[in-house]
Amino acid sequence: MSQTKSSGPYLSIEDLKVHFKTEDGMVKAVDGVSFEVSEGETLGVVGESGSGKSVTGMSILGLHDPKRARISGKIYLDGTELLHLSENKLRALRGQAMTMIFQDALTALHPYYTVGRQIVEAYRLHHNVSKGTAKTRAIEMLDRVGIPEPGKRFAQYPHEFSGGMRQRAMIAMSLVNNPRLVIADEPTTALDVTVQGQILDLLADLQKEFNSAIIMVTHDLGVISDIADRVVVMYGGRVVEEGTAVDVMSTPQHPYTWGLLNSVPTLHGDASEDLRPIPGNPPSLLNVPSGCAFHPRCQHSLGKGSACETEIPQLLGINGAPNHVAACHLPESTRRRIMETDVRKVEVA
Amino acid sequence: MTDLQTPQADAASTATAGAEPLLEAIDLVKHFPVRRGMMASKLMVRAVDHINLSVGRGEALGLVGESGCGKTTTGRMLTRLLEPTGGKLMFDGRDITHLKGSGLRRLRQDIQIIFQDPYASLNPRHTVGKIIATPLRVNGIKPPGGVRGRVQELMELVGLNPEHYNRFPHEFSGGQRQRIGIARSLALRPKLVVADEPVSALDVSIQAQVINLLRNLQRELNLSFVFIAHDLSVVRHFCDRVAVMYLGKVVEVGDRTQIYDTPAHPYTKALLSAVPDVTMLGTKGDNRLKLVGDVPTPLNPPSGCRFRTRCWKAQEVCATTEPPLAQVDTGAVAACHFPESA
Repeated sequence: MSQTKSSGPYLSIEDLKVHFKTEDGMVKAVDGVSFEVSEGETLGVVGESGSGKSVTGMSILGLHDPKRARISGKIYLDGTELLHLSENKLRALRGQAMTMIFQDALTALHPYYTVGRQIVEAYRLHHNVSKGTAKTRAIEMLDRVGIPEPGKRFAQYPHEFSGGMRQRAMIAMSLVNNPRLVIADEPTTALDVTVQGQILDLLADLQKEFNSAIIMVTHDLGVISDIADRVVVMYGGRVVEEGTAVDVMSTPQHPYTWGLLNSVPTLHGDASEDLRPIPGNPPSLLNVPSGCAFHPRCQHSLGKGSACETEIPQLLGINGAPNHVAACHLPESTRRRIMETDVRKVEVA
Repeated sequence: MTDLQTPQADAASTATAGAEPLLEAIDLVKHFPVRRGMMASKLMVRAVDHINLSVGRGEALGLVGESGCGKTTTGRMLTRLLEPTGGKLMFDGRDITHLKGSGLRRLRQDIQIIFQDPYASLNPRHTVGKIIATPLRVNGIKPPGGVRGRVQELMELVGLNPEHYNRFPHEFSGGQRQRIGIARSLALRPKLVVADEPVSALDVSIQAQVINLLRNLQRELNLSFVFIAHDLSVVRHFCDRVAVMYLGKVVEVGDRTQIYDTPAHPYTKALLSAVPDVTMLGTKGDNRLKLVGDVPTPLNPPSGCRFRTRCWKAQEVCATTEPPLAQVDTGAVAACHFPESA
């Protein structure tokens, strides 16, 4: 948001649906999701397991098997519609126009090839340069992500790296082409906090330098608070709240967002107070609850037979904050009252 | 046990005030030999290197640090799943350092463990009833109301429906499975439970349910806990006292406010500053202290203070003299030549 925007957002998703046919029935992993990201912007996508956040990220890169997944909607990347693009054209975009950082570096790196070779390959896919030039670039990149002795590490295999270094090596590979859009799917969950900090800083630096757009997929509200410009909160395959990070965190409008905020332990405030978890479990995507998917766990639901149970709520704007939307049937005044009395206060630090 | 006032500890000895601690680790060491190639080399991984810890009755001690700091190895020694290489472990006034056979089995009734992975730690072919009853069966214990009665009582205690006695683990969600693991650990009415990352595999909303459950159980049953976790905010909500480990050493021990509000050891401070916290809204990571490099290898730890290679306060003395754990002016004990002041 800090950067000047060119014409329109870099990525825009319209009514994306990703359904998987399984033996048990249709899994509606993503069910009508729309959002946008601009260059230089960091969008946080938050949700628990099964909220559809990772599946959304994967469909942007076209990583779902078309035989298994039924995908509809539209995804525009810099004006190009991606869902109907051929595999060859998608390949040309992956790595430079868009890239992904995965959660599990061990499965994302090839065990038989040296780390350096994998980075060189990624670079030469988009740059017509000699192997020597590519090697220089790869070593420079390893150095950037904070790997000591990058020249020596270049020739080593993934198993010779520690967990944190492997993650950094994979990030180096993802970022070697200075991508314009980075989709980071829980990139730091498996890492120690100090390494996590280094990687969040690294992403922020690269963003400053190349004005990239970042989609940070995470379950960690702390990470969102720390780095996101805007936030999309997902539940049961749909977006339930969206707005600037400051709006969503300091004046949250959806009961699910309240639940998340009340259940995270923090480093400040009264530690003797019990956490207030959301009752129940995230829904099965085979059988998403009717109406608002969150209603069975919602403490403020309007009750049996009400709109909460029968009607899917629309994402509607909030008075006074036009870019802050939430999908909830509760009247805005009621929500404001609950938010002020019953939800953990988060203020801009 | 109200958790805030309890441990006005005689901090210098890292022990709780008053009565003798339930568990005490004195100068505890665990070294693992490494074999490289054909040569049986004398290289040792110094996983845990002379640490002192104590857990009071009804107290929850947190053990935090990065991966490889030795916190899990420490937990395994405290439960005697591993035998210490050196030092002494005292439990309830008895020396348990080298217990074997039936003595060790009897100890298991008093010390139990909760594992991190709720998927890998339950036998998929056993019903929940059988899983929770296993400790009773193994130890030949016949509870007054019958095994089934006791198991159902335990299931109710941890918030599971006792009617689900005959179900299998795959029929439960991650959070419920962790509850099964907790019920199993409580079956023998232990005095001490070591929980190794008990909530890190769970979703945020479920994580909070399990933390609250453990807190209630601790209060109701007056259990002692050793809570091992890398998530500092989770530990803050659960533990009265916290020990911070780095590369096989305890670098700081203090009560909750000392550790979190006035960290004395630079490592504690850096660790805390690195946690992305919801309360840091909009800071864009500006408060993070940048730690250079990685944790050095425990095969060949740095001389003197082990943190010196990454510490911004390091001076010559840090390389030559290992700082002892000593009381600092925040009230905590820290092993640092130049501790932060309160």
